[in-house]
Amino acid sequence: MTEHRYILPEPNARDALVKNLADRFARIRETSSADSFEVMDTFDWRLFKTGWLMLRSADAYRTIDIHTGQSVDTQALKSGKRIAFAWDFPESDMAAALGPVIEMRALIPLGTVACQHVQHELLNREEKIVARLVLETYRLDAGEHAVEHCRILPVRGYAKAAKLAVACLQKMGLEPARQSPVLTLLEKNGFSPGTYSSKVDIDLQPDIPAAEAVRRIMEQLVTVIHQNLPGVREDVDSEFLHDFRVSVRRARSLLGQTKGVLDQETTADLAARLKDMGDSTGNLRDLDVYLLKKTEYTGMVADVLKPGVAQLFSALARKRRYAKDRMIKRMATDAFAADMEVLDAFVRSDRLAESEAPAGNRPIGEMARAVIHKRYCRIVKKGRKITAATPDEELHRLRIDCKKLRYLLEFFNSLFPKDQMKILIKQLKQLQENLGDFNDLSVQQEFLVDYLQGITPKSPRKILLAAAIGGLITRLGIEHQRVRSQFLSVFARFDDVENRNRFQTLFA
Amino acid sequence: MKTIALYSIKGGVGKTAASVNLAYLAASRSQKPTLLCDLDPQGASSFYFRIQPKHKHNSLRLLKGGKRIAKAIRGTDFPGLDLLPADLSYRNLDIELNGFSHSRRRLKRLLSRFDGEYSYIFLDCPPNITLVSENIFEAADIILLPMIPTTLSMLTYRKLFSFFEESRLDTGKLHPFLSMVETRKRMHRDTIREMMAAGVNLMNAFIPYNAEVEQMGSHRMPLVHYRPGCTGARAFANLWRDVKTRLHKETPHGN
Repeated sequence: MTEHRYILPEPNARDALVKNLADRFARIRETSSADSFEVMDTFDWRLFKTGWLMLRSADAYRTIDIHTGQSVDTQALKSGKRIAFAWDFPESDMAAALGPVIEMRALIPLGTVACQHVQHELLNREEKIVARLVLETYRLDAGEHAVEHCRILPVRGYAKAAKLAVACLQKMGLEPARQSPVLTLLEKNGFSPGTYSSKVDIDLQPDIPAAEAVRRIMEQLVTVIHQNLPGVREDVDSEFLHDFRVSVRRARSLLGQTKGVLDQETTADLAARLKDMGDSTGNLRDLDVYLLKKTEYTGMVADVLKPGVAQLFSALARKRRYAKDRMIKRMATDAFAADMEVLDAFVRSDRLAESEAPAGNRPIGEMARAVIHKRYCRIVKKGRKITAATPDEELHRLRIDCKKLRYLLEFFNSLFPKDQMKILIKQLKQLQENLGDFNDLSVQQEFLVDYLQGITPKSPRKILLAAAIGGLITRLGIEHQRVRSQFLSVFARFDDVENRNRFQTLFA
Repeated sequence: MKTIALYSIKGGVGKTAASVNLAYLAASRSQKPTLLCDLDPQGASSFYFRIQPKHKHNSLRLLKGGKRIAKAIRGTDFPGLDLLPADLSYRNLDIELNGFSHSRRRLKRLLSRFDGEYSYIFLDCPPNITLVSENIFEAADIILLPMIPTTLSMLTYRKLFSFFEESRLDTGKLHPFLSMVETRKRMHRDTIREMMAAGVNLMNAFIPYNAEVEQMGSHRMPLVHYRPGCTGARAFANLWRDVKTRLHKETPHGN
């Protein structure tokens, strides 16, 4: 039995509504109640994008469906402790459903909702409840707009009564509610669920000057940097720093691949500041990457070695605390504030239109084709030379080139046919995944070997730690070889005739 | 899904009061979807919940089963608790049952479709010993027998017990409990002692004779709901706790 939900245009409609119903039922019994809860989602709206939102009340966490407003899962709480991550929930259906959706992201409170319910029990002559009308007013603590909502709850075996009540609402011209009132409340109070993305998505015209195009892409990247800074500073979850760093890297890559578009001085200054931002956050990100691998690493070794892995991770967590403090201090300096100001000033400036740099006024369409083609040719040339005997360094260099090409395809996506670009990016992504895995495994092995060398095996504890690390290195080494052995076939797929033609037609 | 029958050969022993309050407790305290089937043509359970059967519903539709039963079920005023109301035509159930194959196991088969939908099904049974009762004995996982502590009750209990043995029914399903107990009456006290001495499998909890329980008829809702703190309500809560304990001791197919 589904409930019927309507949005009330204004609170005044209530009295008329109840009066209309009073004429159709023997009696109406009224009770009221109130509750309040926090609405939560991750910064990048992962629950919303899955069709959910999280509601946290005093004694439970509840996921609701954003379309029907109904509960999906409920998890009662023993303590009032705030839960941010999927892995902090006690083992349950909810934890299992949340894990793959929110992954490493934290649930962030979006606001506190106060809800007033007035329940009208519609009775027949026997004074039996045959349907319920619930009038609800939702208010957000940090918002002035309320949402008036009403629901008709049928009672099993009394379908006629519910129909009668629904007909009454329809006669008054009420609109059926198409989504949860909580979502409507967020939207009415300035939230735009689902809008955050760290990806570059920009609409460029091929004939605009290159300098202007670069400025506009930079503008988006700087926006993402700003959006993530508060989360980085408060250390909400690891993805704020990740998105921050990706945008910094994209910005550096953009400047590096569009030489001659801006004047040399500006490029050099921006590049130096961005490099500094990258360098001062790298250490913390590396540690985050390892810490996220805790479950994976623990699963790699035999049970006897698991305590050793646990030791490794508590040492890494300690290191991370220092690294975080250092980074946050760095971000509080005047120098960092100055870096941000320079970036802001650059993306706001309008004098780029009459750029004096040699390629500043070149149409971006033509320029994009040239840089993409150049990068593509370089990748193909390097890739074809790689055999089973090629040193690992060559693959790492190829990985960097692929990354640069990927950024270009994303920056200039709007200048070329969408369907073609989609295929190109997909093909490139597969190659990048292979190279990325290969690189990650190399870095991890090196890191563990380094770590191993710093251990003095004086106690059984340290010996266990060393043995666990040894186990990990072995497992990673095997995986490393496996990934490398797949490179040739993955590259051959990227370099097939069809894909080659695609690149030639679009960019040559 | 567990099926719990409230049965007595004799009427007026507090059978319906127990059905109504236990079913309410299962739905509200234990928070499990519960169905109360009012099989007694008098329809006392239905009356307590202010529910009338739909016009089309009758004994034949019940026995034919399938969607017809699902359609006859109505929601009570309490979350999680539904009721299959009784109809006066149920007085003919016995005769009509004879016309169906597997006439002893008919009810069990009819109820099996609700496995998954309800965690508990309560059967408020008509007071007699007929083919309908035999259906109930087959369908129930546990049969609760309200007994007023009198010599006559002992006699009927013995008769039922031998009937179970003769019909090769599982006597392990029989769980008598004391109902309408007046501890100030000497005869009640003596009979209880006798019962215990005779090794009757009595439940610990008992329902005292109580004016509040009798007044349920004018409130037309479970006592446990409108006066949860009173003696009668507390007795039903204890009884429900004991029933749950005994249900969990039972193996799925009886002993």
